[in-house]
Amino acid sequence: MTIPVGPDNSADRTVGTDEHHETEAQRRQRFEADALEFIDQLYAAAMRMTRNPADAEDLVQETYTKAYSSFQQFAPGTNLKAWLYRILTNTYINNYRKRQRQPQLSDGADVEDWQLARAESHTSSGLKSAEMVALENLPDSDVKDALQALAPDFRLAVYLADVEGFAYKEIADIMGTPIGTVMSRLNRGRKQLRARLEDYARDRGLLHDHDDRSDDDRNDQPTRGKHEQEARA
Amino acid sequence: MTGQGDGVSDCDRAISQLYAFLDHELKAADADEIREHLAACEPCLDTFDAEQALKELVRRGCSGEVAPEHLRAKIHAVIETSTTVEVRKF
Repeated sequence: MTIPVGPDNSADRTVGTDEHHETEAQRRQRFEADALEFIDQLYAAAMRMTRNPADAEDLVQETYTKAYSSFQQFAPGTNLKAWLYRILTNTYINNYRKRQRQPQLSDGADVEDWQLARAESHTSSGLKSAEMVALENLPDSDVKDALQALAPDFRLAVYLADVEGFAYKEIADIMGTPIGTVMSRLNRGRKQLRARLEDYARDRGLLHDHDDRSDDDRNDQPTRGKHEQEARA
Repeated sequence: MTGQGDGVSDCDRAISQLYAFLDHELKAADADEIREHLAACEPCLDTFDAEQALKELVRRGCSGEVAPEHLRAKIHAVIETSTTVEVRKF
């Protein structure tokens, strides 16, 4: 299995040692030098997948165990980070997703059609600046919660694209789906995420019912000062 | 909302490529066309800005997660006692 090298090659590792002649000790060293670098990122991704630290730790540990077992077959110069994410994702799908106690949201069922239609309507021109300000004032925990609320496939696609910056082709390889599916998941996942974040912003009083998307409102200057005060309170 | 005069809206074309553009998936020439449109169309620019802001929000909101020390230690221990397998179907 080879992972295609994506546009961002920062995760590529060219190994000096010939991996077929290295000793076990050398391989361990190479693995610890190259692969363990990504532990924080893999843990962060695992937290988004499993929603709790204990499962996330188990998932990461299992990922590294599997990765190390296969490390001799890993072709140097190809994308190590994507390879590790592939193992993480497969391990999650095979072992943890089945055991999730929280209910799985079915694809698309939690966002009403009218919200998607509004998000797609060009006359609304997406978020207006009042909404942008409101969302940007949400705490990180709200962002994480909103992401958690997405169906796992949408959540993972958005995470891999927006947090890790993987290319579509890399995401397709990590998730084992065609690129078209990745794009569709990103499209729907992002729209759902935005709708949910707007709900949170409304709950927090950062966004008001009169901050409606319409051509009339577009020319109004939002009272940014008031929103910022409320957000900092 | 119509674009700059042709039948199919320039705006529709731009919006249909919004995520591909923001995700750096477009060829340079196609990305340049989008930039040209954005320079001339404020509503589309607003939309692109808003979606870029959402991407950045997700990245910011999920950053800063650090693996606990005991996890690092556990993995080190596992690797020290493991051996790689010569041939393994994965």
